[in-house]
Amino acid sequence: MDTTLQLPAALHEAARAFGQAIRTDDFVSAYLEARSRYAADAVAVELEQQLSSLYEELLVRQQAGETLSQEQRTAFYDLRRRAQTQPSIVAREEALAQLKPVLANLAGEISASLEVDYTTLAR
Amino acid sequence: MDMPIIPILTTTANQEAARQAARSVGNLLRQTPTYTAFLGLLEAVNADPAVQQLAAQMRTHQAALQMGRDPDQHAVALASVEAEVAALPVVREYRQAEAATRRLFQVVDALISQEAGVAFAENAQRSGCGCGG
Repeated sequence: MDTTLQLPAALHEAARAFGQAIRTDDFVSAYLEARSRYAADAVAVELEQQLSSLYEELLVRQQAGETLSQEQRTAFYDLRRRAQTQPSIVAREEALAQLKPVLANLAGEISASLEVDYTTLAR
Repeated sequence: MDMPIIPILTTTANQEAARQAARSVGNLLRQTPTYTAFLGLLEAVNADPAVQQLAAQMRTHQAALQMGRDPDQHAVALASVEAEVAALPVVREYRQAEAATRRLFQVVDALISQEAGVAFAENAQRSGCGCGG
């Protein structure tokens, strides 16, 4: 992202005001609470870090042409299952799933003004 | 917290305020010279006879590839036509305008996300939507 780009003042203020308006939404509050509970859950954070590291490692191996062993695949799926059933991770993901349609509707309002999909250009 | 089961069918006062704020952002983005240039070039690309002719050739090769007809030959031909399209001045100008628009939108989105406390565009994308842009 180009952090040196200066936005017109009105656009800068509108973007800030929009972000603040989003933050007042109940679904955002619920998600932020769930995310905080997850962040305070050391076991959950460790599980996700392990999962991410293992995923990256296996991806690199696969891309290098290595065929993953059954043990490696089983280890990955076991770790993923443990992460996906960790209560604070489940709660965070459920809150995010509730939030996404709200955000999508709001992005739709921007896209309607632009006549192109905002999220495609903004990511 | 008492929340509706189907959030998209329920509009609270906060959500209506957020919608209005979203429309404001959209309208202001649309007025920027960067976005105006992008839209103009998008129209120019779509109306360009050379682009249309080459796009028709691309569709022919893509259809042949999908049907598995002379795949090597059509893959080479398709890559050649794609390179020809990419080299057209109007397309190069469009790509530059698109990149500038992405930079603008990403800065706006970072600001929105920072204030909202959640990554906005990343979480607002409808699943299965490869549209726009």
